[in-house]
Amino acid sequence: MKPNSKVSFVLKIVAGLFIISITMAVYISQLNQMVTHNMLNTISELSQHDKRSIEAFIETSWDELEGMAKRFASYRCQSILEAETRMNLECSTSDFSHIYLLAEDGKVYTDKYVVYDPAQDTMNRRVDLLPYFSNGEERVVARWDDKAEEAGMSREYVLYGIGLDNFEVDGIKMRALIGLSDINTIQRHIILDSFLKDGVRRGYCTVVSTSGDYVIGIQKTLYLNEADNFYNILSAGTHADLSNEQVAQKMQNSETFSFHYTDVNGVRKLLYFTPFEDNIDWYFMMVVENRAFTERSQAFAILSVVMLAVVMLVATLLLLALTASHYRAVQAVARAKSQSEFLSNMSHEIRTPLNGLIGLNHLMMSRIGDPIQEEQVKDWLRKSHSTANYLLSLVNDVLDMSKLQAGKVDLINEPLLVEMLVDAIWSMQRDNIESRGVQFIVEQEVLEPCVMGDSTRIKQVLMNIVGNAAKFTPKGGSITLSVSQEKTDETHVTTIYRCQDTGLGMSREFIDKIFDAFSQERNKTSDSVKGTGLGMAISKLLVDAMGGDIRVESELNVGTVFTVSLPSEIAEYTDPHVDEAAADEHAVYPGKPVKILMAEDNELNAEILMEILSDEGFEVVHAENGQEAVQRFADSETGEFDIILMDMQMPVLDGCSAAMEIRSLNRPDAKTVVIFACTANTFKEDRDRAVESGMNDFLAKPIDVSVLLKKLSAGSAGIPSHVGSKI
Amino acid sequence: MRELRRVIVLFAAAVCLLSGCGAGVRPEGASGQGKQDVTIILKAPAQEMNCVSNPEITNTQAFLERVGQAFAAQYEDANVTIDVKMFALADEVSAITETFDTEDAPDILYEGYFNMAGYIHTGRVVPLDDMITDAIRADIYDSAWTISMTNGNTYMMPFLTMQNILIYNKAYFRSCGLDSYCGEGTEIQNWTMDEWTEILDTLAANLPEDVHPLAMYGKNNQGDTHIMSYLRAFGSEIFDADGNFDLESPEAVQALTWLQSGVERGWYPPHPENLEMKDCSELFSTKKLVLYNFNGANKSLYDDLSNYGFVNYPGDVATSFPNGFEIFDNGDDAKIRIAKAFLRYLYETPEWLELSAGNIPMSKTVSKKYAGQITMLSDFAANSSHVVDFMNNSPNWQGSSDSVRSVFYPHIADLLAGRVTPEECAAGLNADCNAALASGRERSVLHQ
Repeated sequence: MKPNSKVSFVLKIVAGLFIISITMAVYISQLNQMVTHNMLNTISELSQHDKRSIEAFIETSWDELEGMAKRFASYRCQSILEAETRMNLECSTSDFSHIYLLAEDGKVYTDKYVVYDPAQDTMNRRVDLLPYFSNGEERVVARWDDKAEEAGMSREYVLYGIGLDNFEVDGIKMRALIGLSDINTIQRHIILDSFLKDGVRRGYCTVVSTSGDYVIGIQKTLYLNEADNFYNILSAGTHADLSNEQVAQKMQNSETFSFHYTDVNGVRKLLYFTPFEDNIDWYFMMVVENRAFTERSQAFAILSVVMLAVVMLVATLLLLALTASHYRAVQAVARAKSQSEFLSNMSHEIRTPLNGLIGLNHLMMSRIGDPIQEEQVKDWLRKSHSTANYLLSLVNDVLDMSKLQAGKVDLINEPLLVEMLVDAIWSMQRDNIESRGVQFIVEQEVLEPCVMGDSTRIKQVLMNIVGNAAKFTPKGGSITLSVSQEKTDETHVTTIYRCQDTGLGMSREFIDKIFDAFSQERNKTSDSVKGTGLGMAISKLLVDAMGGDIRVESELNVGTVFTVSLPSEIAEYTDPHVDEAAADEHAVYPGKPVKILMAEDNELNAEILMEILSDEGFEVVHAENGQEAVQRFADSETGEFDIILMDMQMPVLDGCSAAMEIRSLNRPDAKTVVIFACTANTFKEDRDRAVESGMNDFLAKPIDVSVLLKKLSAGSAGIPSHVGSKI
Repeated sequence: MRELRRVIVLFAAAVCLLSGCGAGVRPEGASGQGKQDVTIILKAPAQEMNCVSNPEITNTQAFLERVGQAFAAQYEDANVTIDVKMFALADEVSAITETFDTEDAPDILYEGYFNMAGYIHTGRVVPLDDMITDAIRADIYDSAWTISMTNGNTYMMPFLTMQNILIYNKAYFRSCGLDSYCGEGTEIQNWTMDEWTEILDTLAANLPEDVHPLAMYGKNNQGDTHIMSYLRAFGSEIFDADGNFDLESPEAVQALTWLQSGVERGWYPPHPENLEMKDCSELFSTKKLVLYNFNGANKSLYDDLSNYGFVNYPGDVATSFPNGFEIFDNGDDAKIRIAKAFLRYLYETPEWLELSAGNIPMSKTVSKKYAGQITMLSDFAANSSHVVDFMNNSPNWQGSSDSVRSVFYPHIADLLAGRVTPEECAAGLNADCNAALASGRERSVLHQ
């Protein structure tokens, strides 16, 4: 990536992150507001529910007292003790802990037979109950702490009272009937006492009087030393949104309100207040720590982030899938275009030499018998031969490419001499290169001369590379083919072939696709250079198949360097001249007539071969298919035929089947007669099939006459040769 | 690839920034000065205290808060807060048992052994032997150590004790013609059962309508041990040799019969089954009751001791209520360590140990030092031969819905209400109380 595009990329990413951050900040802010709003709604609903439950309970308690009052009236108690005993029994069957009768003089007569007289209470241990009814109240509810008894028995009560009219006991006028309930009876109506998370409370509910006294404790379990006034607790904290006076004013106005404050321990809390109905001087208060809000919004935020991440991931994957699909489509179009171009090129490449061949044939036919034109005809014949060879190489390349792409190339792993291989390249290319006025230099620095490998395929690769160098290096330039080795361990070595030219070089764009099939650099200079565009693709596939690596470095108008690295096992050195000598020895033409049975269904091919072989002194018998070949051999005298040339694909009976039938015949020469497979199918499996069916060797079509004769020479001597099996 | 990595890092940073995951949070409990903040919850029922060494301290709350503050001020290994939480005796279950395994669980408990002993068998109370120095052990009465130990380990630290007897209003005795039964000074008397019957009948017959002879109650478990004392009136020892309740014995049934007869004979306020001890306490303090429980600490009940007489429970029985400390294991070794340091500090600091003087100190040194200033100390000492072990070191005595204290009082309420005969009551008490003991023995787990 270029520096400018990098900066642009990073800027885009930063901008994207900035937008995401801003969006998320706004989102989380809105989320917090929404969560707070929802929580407040929840708090309000829960508070209203609990408050109504408590109000209903209070109403029920008052009603219970009303019922008692009616019963007391009907009892017509004559003495205080009788009234106290009635109260005792009423209390035992009610939800009250104590029942009191408040006389108009302030004395309190109890269900436990105790009489409290505030006027004589010198120890000030009793609350004077008369003030609760001093304003003509008919129904009273209040928190009442009973601190008068023996230590350890203090209790916290809710006091319920109803006013009495014309109720006397033993001449004493009673002002009110009072019931005391344990404060927990109120607390039981609070269903939500905390926002629990991991067993830790985040809040609680309570009831306070407008004077700030807690009606019920702020803890589930009441501790006698913990009851306090709400205003004292508020004052002990900090950062309250409302002052004590403002809270008192709101309570006086019976407003529902909420505000935040930080308690003495530094915990930020929301306080929610809602008043009880008119005749109850209490407020329901819910306290929720701020972290209950943040925890809830955090949960949403985390969920949102996860969702966002998932959405982004899915979107990214979709984008990638779309991109990949688009890329594949573009590639498919490109490939189709490339193949179309290739077919067009191939058509052009094939038609051009065919056109030449046809034209030359026409010219040659018109000049037959003209001694003046003999030299001209010879030249046309050489050109015709050259053109035919070009056509052959084109077909071979296409077939190679097809096999390599299908992964059906079987490499031969046999000892090879590196120096000899390079020498062979030099031999094959020297004339071609030097005839162009280009210097061809070979440099060798070989540690292990003999390694395992497929010399044919390596040569093919190097020929492609050097051939290309030759094509693109202008006159006066040079091509250097060097070979070196690096030992990887005791038994392995990497052989590095490097071909450097001072040619035209390649564009960067072309380098990127030089190893693609059907690609060929098109420029003014190379348009004139013949090629299928498959050479480098084939080379790359071959090197890959050999476990090696091929790299290219190039600069326009400076030159190109191809480097091929091939790992291989070190082989035992063998003197190549021994085998060659033996081969040469066997290649000696015997010079005596040899009878050949030729199975060939194509008349033209048969005619050509017969002519060639006859010219070379062979006696040839033609069979038009495999069955006829078998028959002819069967009908022949023992040893009559020295060699059978067997076309692989024939009607009636194919070559392999015919070979097997011949080998299975019950005659002495059935096993010994030399059979050569002749076929246009040049792949290894074809050769293997031929050998498996009992044939001795293989001749590839179109048949190279010199190779044919060499093989026949060897065949007639009874020594099968693999020379010439190179296709 | 590098750009992609940058993008991921930037995005992660943005997400972290927005979600606040990068915010540093100081670990809870760690102070800025490097010391750990530790809060020890010390719970106790609200009780009066007579502290002759410091008359300003009149209740256990003041006592415990002062010691707690002094301890926290001198403790150096942590920033300690002793959070003293007082509860009503009637709220014992909600204040203690129901807070186990919550953040409100007590680390230290100060109260009477009759409640505390049951917690030892929950496996939550830690042995204290490792904090008891030789000096502390030598200073505490051996008898106090004996009742503080279970299976050879000391689970309770004895601080003070109270002897429970009955107090009576001499003025009412005299007004009813019972002058001859009034004792001298603060002597603790013993009356025969015939004398008891005569006295109660006489009082019932002669007292004003709104004054009642004897405290009796059955509404809840408060003061139930006093009621148990009445069951020994005719010689029952309540427990058999195996430690089980044996209330179907003739002596126990006779005592129940005697108790039930008092309802009809007017010995108690009407419907005592609906009364609780605190009601009788108020009746006594408002002079509506003649005879009530007394332990020397409940000064609010009376004005001038010279107006009152003292007598053992029927059957010449007195009980002892030791008070002391327990430490609970709430899963925090640091808290246990600090709680033990607190107790050791208290017992090694004379100023605090001497606050036990007023009741009967468990410290020999304090007893000697304040012998002349402690109300009725010599009388209680002389009466020690009448003291019985009312708990018999029983498991499951307190703290659960099936404990002895939970199942005992309903039978007494039924007896007083006339809903059961004495025999039925005895059978019910035996069955339910022994089931409680069996359950307690089965569940008993001791902290090692």
